[in-house]
Amino acid sequence: MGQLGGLALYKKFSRLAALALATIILSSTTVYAETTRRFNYTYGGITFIENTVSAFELARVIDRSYLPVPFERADDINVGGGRIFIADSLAGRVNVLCAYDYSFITSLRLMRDPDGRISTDPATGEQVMLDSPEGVFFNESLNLLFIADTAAERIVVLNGDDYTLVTEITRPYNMVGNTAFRPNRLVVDDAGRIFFLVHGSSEGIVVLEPDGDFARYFGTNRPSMSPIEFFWRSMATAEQREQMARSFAPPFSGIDIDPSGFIYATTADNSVQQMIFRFNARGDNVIRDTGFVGLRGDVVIFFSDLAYQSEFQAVSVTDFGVYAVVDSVRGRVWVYDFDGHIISIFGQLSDTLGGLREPSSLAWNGFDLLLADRAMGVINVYTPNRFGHAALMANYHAYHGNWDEATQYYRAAVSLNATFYAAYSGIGRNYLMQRRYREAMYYFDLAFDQEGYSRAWQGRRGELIADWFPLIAIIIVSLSVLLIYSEARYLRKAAYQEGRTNKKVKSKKECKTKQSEEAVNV
Amino acid sequence: MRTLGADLKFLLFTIFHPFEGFYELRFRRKRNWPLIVVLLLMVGIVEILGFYHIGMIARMSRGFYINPLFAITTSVFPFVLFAVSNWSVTTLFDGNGKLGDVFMVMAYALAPKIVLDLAFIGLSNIVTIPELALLYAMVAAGYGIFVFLLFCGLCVAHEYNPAKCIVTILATIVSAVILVFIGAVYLILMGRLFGLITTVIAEITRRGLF
Repeated sequence: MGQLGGLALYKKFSRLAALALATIILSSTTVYAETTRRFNYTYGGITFIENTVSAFELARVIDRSYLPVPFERADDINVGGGRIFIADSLAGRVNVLCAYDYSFITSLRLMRDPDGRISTDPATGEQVMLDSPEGVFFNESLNLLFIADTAAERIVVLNGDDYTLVTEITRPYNMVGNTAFRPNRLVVDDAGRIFFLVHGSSEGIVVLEPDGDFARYFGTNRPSMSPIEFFWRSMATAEQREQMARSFAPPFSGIDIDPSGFIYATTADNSVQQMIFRFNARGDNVIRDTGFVGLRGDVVIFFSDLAYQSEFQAVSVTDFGVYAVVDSVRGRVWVYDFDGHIISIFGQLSDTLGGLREPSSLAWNGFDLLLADRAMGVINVYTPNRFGHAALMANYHAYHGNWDEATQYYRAAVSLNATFYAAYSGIGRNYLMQRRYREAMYYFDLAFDQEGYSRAWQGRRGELIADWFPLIAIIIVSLSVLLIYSEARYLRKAAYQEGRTNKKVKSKKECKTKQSEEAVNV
Repeated sequence: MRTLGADLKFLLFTIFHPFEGFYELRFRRKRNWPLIVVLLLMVGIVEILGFYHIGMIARMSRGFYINPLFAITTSVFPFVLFAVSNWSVTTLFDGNGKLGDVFMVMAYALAPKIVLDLAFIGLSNIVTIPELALLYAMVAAGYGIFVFLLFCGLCVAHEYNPAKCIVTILATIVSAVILVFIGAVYLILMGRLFGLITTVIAEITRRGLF
């Protein structure tokens, strides 16, 4: 027994050692990043952190040698209307690339009116020139290009076809709060409402009406307070409390909008409970967080390279529910599906090709993922490989309810990468939709998807109860008959003892002796 | 073994009449030590059973492997630690209970918790996630009953009034922390000593003094 225990203990420690070793290897790998193949892991499985297959490969790098115009920084990228827009705050330009072959189309700096003349500001008479655009957004249904000219404290609206100036939006007269009108990321919904972020603002997302009036602050990020902080605050006097730094709500760092009008946002403040948001029209966070480790990037493991929580800088959502966020602590891109399962984790901070130094923005171009780095002034274009393509196609079909196609692609993805746990969950969901509960339970068990398993089991339990109903009914009926019989017997016995009746209840023993007596008499 | 049935019956009586039951156990009845040891070990056995047979939806982690001895040790250890530190505290606080009495009280107080935990493991295979909250309430009730029985039992065993019993329980927790600390210090020191000896031996052998 001791020998067995010792062996088991040895096994346990060897597993722990393997985990520690894996953590060390993960944390110290030097990556020569031509592709992302060397460095991929995911959360799940037996060992919690598992090596896995990459879903995206570096396809091309857009840097200053790629463009014919000065290109200093890549602050924000947006894809729309078959074009890629790159905001460059240092050169004061918005560069436009073709989304299909990544060829250069034009670069916007000096604004012109529809007649081809240089636009001037009616108040000052100066030329309208981009100063430091940090955000750009193209709305296809409005066919308008919105540029957040941060230092100039305005939003420039251009025609989507010929890039002529439509209007300029400056600080509205009715704007309240302490937030400065320095938009640095923005999205516009199909009604023309502008949602923009101000760097460091704790009041939430600023919403402007289509005519440029201030509407409201949106999606206020709730501040967090630790119990210790709360304790000291409750101890402090009013004067001390005045002197303490006010605890502000964490600011948002990235924003995007999905086709149904939900606003996606991230915060770089990792002390809050939720770091990725999907706001409904009321400003509630309705993101689905049913994944294995939660939507907080890397799981914090103390005394390791994973001792620091991820800080998300940007978010981009596809039109089928898959979204990607980028973390600036370790330079990782996290691709999540609609339910919050990890599809892929890739990228790292490095000065080599494909590496990141200060990731600022990302955007989906179809299945390609564009990743902008502010400090390096490059845009890395990642394209899905066979596994990534299968995973994205599966999610595309799952999002649109094509369960059979989704299952086919999930199976293809799993055959290329067995550690793609979201796929098991997806296959289970398909079986659940077909009411094949046992198969669904098997796959949800593989995926460790407890919510899905619970739903499948609920269905299966209903089936079991229906199948065994006669037996269950017989048991219940016979039990209740027994209960009534024994109760009646007890009452009669009590009545006899109290003399209310002269009918004696025969005990079994008496019956037996009487029978034997009768037998003897006969 | 002949008295096992009677002892189990009295265990049931103690759960529903804690003061009277513990008084009898402490002063009148002959103690059934195998029963007490088995009850304490049951905590560990329930832990292992839970690992293998708990329902998928109540599972905390995706585990595939457990070391049974390690599981029993880690799950029984807190209770043994509490018993030892309670005894060491109450000897200073004029408590009349012996270490055996504290273990006896601990084991008897654990009995309803063990039953409820077993019921939780069984029922967790039947319920769905929305119904799971009821089962968690049941487990919490198990803990509550355990704490109450422990309190009653310690009051009786040490012949304390309730206020003093609460004070000693708080002191017990502090002393348990100190015990763990001393244990850790001892282990570290022994590790250092062992390291020193091995280094000295290695030094001597490598210099070829032998």
